[in-house]
Amino acid sequence: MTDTIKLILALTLISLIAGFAIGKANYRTKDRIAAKQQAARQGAIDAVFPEGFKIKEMNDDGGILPQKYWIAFSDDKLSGYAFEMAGSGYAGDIRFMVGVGLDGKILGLTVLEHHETPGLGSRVNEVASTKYIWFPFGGDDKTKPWFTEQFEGISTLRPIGVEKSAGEWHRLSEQARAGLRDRNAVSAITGSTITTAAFTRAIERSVSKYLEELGGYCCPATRKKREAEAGAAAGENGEETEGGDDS
Amino acid sequence: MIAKELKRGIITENSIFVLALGLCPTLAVSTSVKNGLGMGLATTFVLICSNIIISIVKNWIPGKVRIPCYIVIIATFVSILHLLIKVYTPTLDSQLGIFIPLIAVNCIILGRAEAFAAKNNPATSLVDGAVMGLGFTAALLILSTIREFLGGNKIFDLMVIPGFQPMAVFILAPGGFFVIACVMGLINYFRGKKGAKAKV
Repeated sequence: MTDTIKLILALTLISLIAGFAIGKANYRTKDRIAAKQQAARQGAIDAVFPEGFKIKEMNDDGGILPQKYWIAFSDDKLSGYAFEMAGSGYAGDIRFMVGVGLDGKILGLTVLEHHETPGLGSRVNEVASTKYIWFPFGGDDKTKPWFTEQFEGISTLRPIGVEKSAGEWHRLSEQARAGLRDRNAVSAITGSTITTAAFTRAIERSVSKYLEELGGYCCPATRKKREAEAGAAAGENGEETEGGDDS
Repeated sequence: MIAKELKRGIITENSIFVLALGLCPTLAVSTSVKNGLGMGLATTFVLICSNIIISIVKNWIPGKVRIPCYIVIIATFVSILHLLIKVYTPTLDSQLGIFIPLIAVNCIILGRAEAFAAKNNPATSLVDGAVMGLGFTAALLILSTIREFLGGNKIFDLMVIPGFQPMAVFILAPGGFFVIACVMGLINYFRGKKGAKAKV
């Protein structure tokens, strides 16, 4: 009996100390982690629009539109929207930010968070380097990942194809790239078609719906009117500003 | 003494090539040198910390619950490390993803806790954690260099041979097995040769 109590005591004590240590570490790092994530998100929003765009954050009650989205102005004219989306990848959700022009074409795309396999799906953020190990100073120094770059100019109003046989975007010729654009398709990451499709499916599912809802400019008014017509209350409110794919 | 310990950790008792422990994270993250290095150092950190703590508390832990206790201690360090990585190198966190929390179940760490730290004093346990961790890191570096080169024509994200067509299979799990098997075979071949000579 005393033995059993000893066992329980030892395990309890160790767990308590461990819990305390993790709690302490979490308490001391959580603000900095949140700040880093906030900065990453802000950077992502800036990156999905061409330079010189003024960006404004918008809030919605979370009906059809996500609770939070962004609109961008160029020369005081509304020129695009940005949405935070979530697609289910090979391992968990991939969260990304997509910027769309008024014509429904993608202006830019940035990955915020993913849990894909290292070396395979994680290549969504790979920058196609042309630097050689023998001479690391030459070659052009690209900063944009090739995978997200290929989405620029793709229309969100039509289905987006995923092509495996074409080879990866960064190895394609200009002609082949133009061909992909014509077919409104992107090239898959080798061995990671599921990851690639997570992006195209999330975009297909939500963006055209959002754009339709937004109409042209000034969405809330249009929206309220439509809601009144439908006589139905908006759907459930989620806490997060996830891409609204659950709406 | 240090040289002897280093040789033990990196060559004669190498966790991957000789003990064949921790192969799961090895297969998963040895796809690029950056990931391999990050994973190796992260594991070394946890290995050193858990070895020290376990060798300190070993006498107060009843034998029947020692494994759960070790796991709790290891998992604590992994959680703390994960938070630190999120603060200081968020890119590594997004690259390694789930494999950072999974360090907690890496067999090498529990293996060293059980086989070494539970029987030795904190100082030697520290040294053991360090050399075993370095051995793990070295093995990961060897494997990831081969795999990143054959599978992507790159080393440390830099191109290697112009016009070389990479073989994607080496980035995938089967390629990982091939490379591990070949390196293990080579090591055993040379060690066997040496052993045979010593006998003669």
